[in-house]
Amino acid sequence: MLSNKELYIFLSTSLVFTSIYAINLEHSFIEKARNGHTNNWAVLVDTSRFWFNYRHVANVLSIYRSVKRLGIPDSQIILMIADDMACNPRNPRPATVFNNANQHINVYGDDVEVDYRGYEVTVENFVRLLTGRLPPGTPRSKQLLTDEGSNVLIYLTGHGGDGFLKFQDSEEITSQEMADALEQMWQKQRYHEVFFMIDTCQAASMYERFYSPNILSVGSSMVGEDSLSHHVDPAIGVYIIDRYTYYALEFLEDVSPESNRSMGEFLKVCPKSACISTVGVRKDLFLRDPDEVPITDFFGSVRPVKLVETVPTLEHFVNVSQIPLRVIKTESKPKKYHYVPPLPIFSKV
Amino acid sequence: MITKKSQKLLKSSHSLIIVCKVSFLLILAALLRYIIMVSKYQNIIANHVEISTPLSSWKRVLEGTFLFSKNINPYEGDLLHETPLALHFYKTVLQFVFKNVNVMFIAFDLGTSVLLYFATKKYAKKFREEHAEIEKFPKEVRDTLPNQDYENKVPLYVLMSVLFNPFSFLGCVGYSTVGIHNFFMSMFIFGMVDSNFLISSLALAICSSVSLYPVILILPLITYFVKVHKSYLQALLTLLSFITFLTLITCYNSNFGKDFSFVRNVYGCILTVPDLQPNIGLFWYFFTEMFDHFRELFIYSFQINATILYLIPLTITFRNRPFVLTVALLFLIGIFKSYPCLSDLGFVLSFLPTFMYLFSYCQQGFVISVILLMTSCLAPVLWHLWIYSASANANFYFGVTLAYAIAQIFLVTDVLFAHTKWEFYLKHGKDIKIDGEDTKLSLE
Amino acid sequence: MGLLTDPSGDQRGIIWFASLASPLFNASTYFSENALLPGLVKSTFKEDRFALQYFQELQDETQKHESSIPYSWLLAKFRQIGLDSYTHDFTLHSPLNPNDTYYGKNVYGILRAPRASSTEALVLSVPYRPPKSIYPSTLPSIAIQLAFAKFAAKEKYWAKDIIFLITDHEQLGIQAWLEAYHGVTCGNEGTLNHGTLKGRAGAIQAAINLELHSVKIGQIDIKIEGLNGQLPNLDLFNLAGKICIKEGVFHTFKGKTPKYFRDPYKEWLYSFKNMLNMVSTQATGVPNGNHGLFLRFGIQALTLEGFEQGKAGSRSGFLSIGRVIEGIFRSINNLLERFHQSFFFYILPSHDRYISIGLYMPAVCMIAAALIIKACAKWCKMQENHTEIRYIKVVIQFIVMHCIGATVMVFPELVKALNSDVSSTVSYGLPSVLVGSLLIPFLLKSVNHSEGSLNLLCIFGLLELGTALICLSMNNISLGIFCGTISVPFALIAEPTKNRIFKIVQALFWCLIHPLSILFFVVSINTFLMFHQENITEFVFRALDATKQAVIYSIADSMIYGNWLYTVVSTIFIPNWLCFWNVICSDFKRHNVNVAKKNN
Repeated sequence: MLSNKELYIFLSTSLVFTSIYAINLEHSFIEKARNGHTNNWAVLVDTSRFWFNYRHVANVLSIYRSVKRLGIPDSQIILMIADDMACNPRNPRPATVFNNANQHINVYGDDVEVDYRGYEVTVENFVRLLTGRLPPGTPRSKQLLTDEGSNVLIYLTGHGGDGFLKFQDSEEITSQEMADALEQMWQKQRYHEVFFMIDTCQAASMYERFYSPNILSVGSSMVGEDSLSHHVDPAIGVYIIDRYTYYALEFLEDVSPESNRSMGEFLKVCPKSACISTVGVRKDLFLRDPDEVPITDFFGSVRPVKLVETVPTLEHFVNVSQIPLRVIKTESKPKKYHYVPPLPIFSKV
Repeated sequence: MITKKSQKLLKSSHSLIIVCKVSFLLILAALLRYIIMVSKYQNIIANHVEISTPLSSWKRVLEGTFLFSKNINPYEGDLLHETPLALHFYKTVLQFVFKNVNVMFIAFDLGTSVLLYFATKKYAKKFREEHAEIEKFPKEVRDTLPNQDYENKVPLYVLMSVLFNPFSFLGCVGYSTVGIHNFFMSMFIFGMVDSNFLISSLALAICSSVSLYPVILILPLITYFVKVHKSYLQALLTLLSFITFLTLITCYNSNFGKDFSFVRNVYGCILTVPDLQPNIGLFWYFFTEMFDHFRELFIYSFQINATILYLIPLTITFRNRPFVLTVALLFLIGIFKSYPCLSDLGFVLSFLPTFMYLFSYCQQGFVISVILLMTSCLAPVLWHLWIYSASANANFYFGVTLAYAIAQIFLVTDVLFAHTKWEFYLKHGKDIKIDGEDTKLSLE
Repeated sequence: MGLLTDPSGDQRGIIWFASLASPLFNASTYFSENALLPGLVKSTFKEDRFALQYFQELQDETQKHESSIPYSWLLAKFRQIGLDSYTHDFTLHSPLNPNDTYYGKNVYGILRAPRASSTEALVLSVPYRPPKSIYPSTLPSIAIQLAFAKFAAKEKYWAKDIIFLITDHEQLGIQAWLEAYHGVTCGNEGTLNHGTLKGRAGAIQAAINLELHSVKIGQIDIKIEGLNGQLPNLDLFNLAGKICIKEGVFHTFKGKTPKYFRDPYKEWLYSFKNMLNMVSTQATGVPNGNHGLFLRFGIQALTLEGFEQGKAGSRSGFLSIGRVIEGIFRSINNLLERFHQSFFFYILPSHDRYISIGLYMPAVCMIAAALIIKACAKWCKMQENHTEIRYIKVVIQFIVMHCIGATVMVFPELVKALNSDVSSTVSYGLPSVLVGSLLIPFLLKSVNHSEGSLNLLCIFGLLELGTALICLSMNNISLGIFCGTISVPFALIAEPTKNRIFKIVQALFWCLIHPLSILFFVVSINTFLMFHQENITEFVFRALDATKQAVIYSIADSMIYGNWLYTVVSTIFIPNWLCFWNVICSDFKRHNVNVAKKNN
C-alpha cells in the first residue's frame, strides 16, 4: 500500500539525515520529518487578468485537473483565478477554457470549484491564506487547513519580474514576502513539505529568498529570462498555454495514482531545447533526494488507510438484497473530443 | 529767476502729472480687465488649471456661500478650502460694496497696485536716502547707486507691472481669489515699510490664516522693525499683535471654539495635499506616483522645503536688508507651495523694478524671461493635448511646469546673488586685485 | 561669442530633421499594446458572394438615385441583417453666404455586442459618393461593409458594439455625426447644426474608414493625417499593415512601396521623399480622409483606400478585403482601454519605419533655439552699446501689429454679421488690408525711431516666432517645420540697417515669405502639377483664383470644423511678419552714444 511504501522510503532515507546536507536542523524537525506526510493539499494561483492572459488561466486549470485526477479532493485544493476567461465576451467558445489547440480539452467544465475568484485574488488574501490568518467566519473552502503532516503543492502563474510577481495588474508580491509567508507556515507547523512551482518570467527570483526547510522549488525561467508561451489557438486567437506548463502536463498525463515516477524526473521535464528558458530548481532546502520522492507525494493524495484484523462482510452494514447489481463498464479508449457549436441562431438570416 | 513760488508750481505740476499718469494707467488697466471679463474668453481662462486651483477657485466660493446660506456645512466634503472669515468677507463685500463680481476683482487688483505704489515709493525714498552720501562709496560703483531717477521711476514701474503683468491680469480675469489675498499681502508690505505695526500684523495674520505659508514672513517683518525702523519695542508689539490677530481670526473662524471643521479642509488640504489635481506646482506629479507608505515622509520634506528650509539661512544673510528678504521669501513661497497659481508669480514679479539698480549685475535675466515666456505659452498647449486630444500625457505637462519652476528659482538666485555682489562692491570696490590679477565673484 | 551671430543653428536643425529619414536614425515599427494580439486568430469571413450581390444591387440603386444616398435600400439591408438602423439629419448654414443652407442625411446601423454591456463601440464608416461626384466611387466599400455586417451579426465574440456608418457630403457628414454623437459643436456656433441621433452606442474606441474604388483591389493605401495635423496611434497603423500582410493584400503608405536600395544615399533619398510627402499633407491641417475628424475625440482612426491598379501583380477580391477588416476588428475587439501605449506624435518615412517625437523635437528645438540665441545676442549687444530705447513705443507698436492680426482673424465673422457675401468681400477685402499694412512703416516715418527700439522690436519678433514655432510643433510638427524652415533663415538676418541695398534685398525676401505669397507659391506648384499644359497667363489667373479659393476654404474650415490654420496664421504669423517688416523698412536716426548720455 501507499503508506507502507512511503514509510519504507522514509526509513531508508532517515540514514541520510545525518549526511552532507548543508542545513543543520533541530532534533524536533528531524523527528517530524521522519514521520512522513499524512495528507496532501494544493494551492493553485493564477494572478493575471485580461483576455490576453488567457494562457495563465488555462495553465492553472490544467494543473488543477491533473491534481484532481491524481486524487487530491476539491476540499483540499485552493484554486485562485483572477479573471473569468470562460465567460469573457471575447471568448468565441463561451463557457470553455482550452489548453491545447489540437486536443480540444475543455479544462473548465462544470466540476471546477474556484475558491478565490476575480478581485478576491490579492496579495493580502494569498498571504493570509498561507499563514492561516483569516478573519473568523471565512468559509472552509477558502481556508488552508493544513497541519504538520501536510504536503502542500503551491503553483503560481502570471506575470513576474526580478523578485516579484504581479497580482491583478495593480500590486505585487515580493520574493521576500513569499519567503516570510512560508516561514510563518513552518513556524506554525502548517506544512510537512512544500513543492513550489512557478511559471512566470524570471521565475527563479521568487524562490531565491526562501529560508525555511522542506521546500523544493522549481521555476520556469532563471533571472533575466522570459518564460514563453507555447502556441496559439487560431480558432480562439490567443496564446493558449505556456511552455513549461505544457511540458509539465505532458509528463503528468502519464502519471496515474499508482505510478512510481519520481520528483526528480519531473524536475527535468522541460529541457532548454523545449522550454527555451532554463528551468531553475532549488533543492538545498529539501531534505530528501528528489529522485527518490514519488511524484504522488505532491501531486497525488494520501488516502487514509485503516488496517483491520478481520474481513468484514457486507451484510454487517448493508441490506444486500436491496442493492441492484450494476455492471462495471470497462474503460474505453480515450475519446478524441471536438468542438460542437451551440444551437444555431434562428432569428438572424 | 527761480522763485519759491515757481518752484512750488513746478513741484505741484510735477505731482499733478504723476497723478494723471497713475489714474490713466489705473483706468486703462480696469478697462482692459473689464473687456476680457465680459467676453467669451473669461470662461476659458477661469477654468484653466493654472489659474483656478482647488484653493483659489471662485466657483468653489460661490458653492460654499450657497451652502452656508442653506445652513449646510460646506466643509463636510472636499469642496471648499477657504476659511469662514474669507467666505463671509467675500460675500459681504460683494453684496454691499461692489455688487458685481467683475468690479470686485478689478477693484482689489487696483487696490493692490495703489498700495504697492505707495509702499515702494516710501521704500525707494528710504533706500535712496541710505545711499545718499555718494562719497562714501568707491568711484566705480557710484553709477549703480539708487538716485533720484530711481526714486521717481520705481513706484511707477511697480504700478505698471502690477497692472499690466499678464500673470496677474489673467488671474484677475479668471476670478482667482489669490488676487484678493495679494491685496492683503500688499497691505502687509505697505504696513511694513510705513512702520505701522498694526496694519502689517493684521494683514499678515489675514494672509496666514488663509494660506498658511505667509506665516514665515513674520521673521522678516520683525527684522524690518528692528533693523530699519530701529525699534525693538515695535518689533515686539508686532509679534504680539500678530499672535493676537491670528487668535482672533481663528476664534472667528471656528465660531468661538464650536466648529473646527474648517481646519481639516483649509490647513489639512494645504499641508497634506489630498487633492492631486494638476496645477503649475511641483507637488501633484510626485504624489500621484508615490506609494502610500512613503507619502508622509515626502509631505514633510516638501513642506519643510516650502517654509523653513530657506527661512533661517536667508534671514541670517539678509538681516540688514529685510525688504529683499521678504521679496525672496515671497518668490520661494510662490514656487514651492502646494497649490500655486499664476497670480502668485504675477504678484512677486511686480517687485522686480525695486531692484533696478541690480539689473546690470543680473546675468540671466534674458534667459529667464525667455523660459518663462515659453513655458507660459506651452503649458496650455500641452494641457489641451493631454486632456482633450489624448495625445500627450502628464509627463509633458509636468516637464513644462518643472521648467517654469526652475526659471523662477534661477530668477531668485540671480537677484539675490546680484544683490550680494552689489553690496560687496559697495564695500570693497569693483577693481579688487588678488595677487595682481583681476577677480570675479562667483556663486559656489 | 561666435555662437551668437551663428545662424547655422537653424541649418543644423534642418539637417538633423532631414537626416532622420535615413534608416540609420529611425527605428522599425513595433507593437506596444499587448492586448491587441494582432493577426493571431484565423479569419472565418466567407461572405464575399454576398458582397458581390450587394455591390450589384447597389449599382442598380444608385442609377435610380442620381445624387443622394439610397436610404430605403440601405435601411432595409441593415434591418435584414439584424442591426438597429437609423438615419441622421443635419444642416449646414454656409459660413460664406448666410442665405445658403445645405441639408444632409447620414445612415447607420448598430450591431450590439451579444454578451457585453454596450459600453464601448467601434465604427466602420464609408463616405457615400454619388455617381456624379468628382471623387472616385466608394460603392464596393459599402458592399463589403454590408457583407462584414452580415458576418459580424452572427458571431458572438464581439465585446464592443459595431456601428456601420454611411456618410453624406464627405467630411461634413462625418463631422455632423460625430458632433451629434458627442453632443458638442467644434466650429462656430450656428454654422453646422448637427441635429440629434436617435440611436447611440457607447464610447467609440476606434474607427476604420473604407474607400475602396473597385471590386478587385490592387493595393491598399493607409491614410493617417487628421485635422490640425493630429495622427492616430501608431499601433493602429501597424495593426492595419500587419493584417494586410497576413491576408496577402498589398498595402502602401503614401502610395509608395517599400524599396530596398543597397546605396544608403538612395535609401535615404527615398525615405526623405516619403517623409516630405507626409509632412506636406500634415502641414495643411486638412485631413485626407474622413478618419481625420475622429481623432480630436480621442478615437483612433485611419482610412483604407483601395485602388484597382497596384504595384504588385495580383489583385485581391472581396474575400481578402473582408478578412482584412475582420482581422482588424477582431484585434481592436481585444482592447480593454483606448489606445495609449504607442506613439501619437511621429513621422513615417515608410510604412514600417517611424520617427518618434523624441527624435524630431530636437530638430525643432534647434531651429527655435537659433532664434532665441539671436535675440539674446541682440540684447547683449544692445546692453553693451547703451542705445536709447523707448520701451513704451515699441510695446505699443507690437500691440498694434497684433490688433491688425486680430482684425484679420475676425474679419470673416464681421462680414458675415453684416450679412454680405463673405467670399467676394474676403477675396478683395483681405488682401487689401494686408497690402495696406505693408505701408505702415512708411506712414510712421514721421515718428522718430531709434536703432535701439527697432532692435527691441526685432527681439520681440524673434521671441514670438520661436515660441510660436515650438507651440505649433507640439501640435502639428509638419506645420512647425514648414514655417520654421521658411521664416527662420530670414528672421535671423533681419536687421535695421541704413544700407539701402541691403534694405531692399531684405524687403524683397520678406515679401516673398509673407503668408499670402507662400500660399500663392504652394498653390501655383500644385496648379502647375495638375495643369502643366497651359500657357502663362491662364496659369497665373488659375493660380490666383486657386489662392483665393484656398483662403476662403481655410476660413470655411475654421468655421465648420475648427481647423486652426487660419486663426494661427492671422493672429501670430501676420503680426510677426509685420513686426519684422517694420524693423526692416523703418528709417531711424543713429544716436551718438556720447551725446545721449543722461544727466542724473
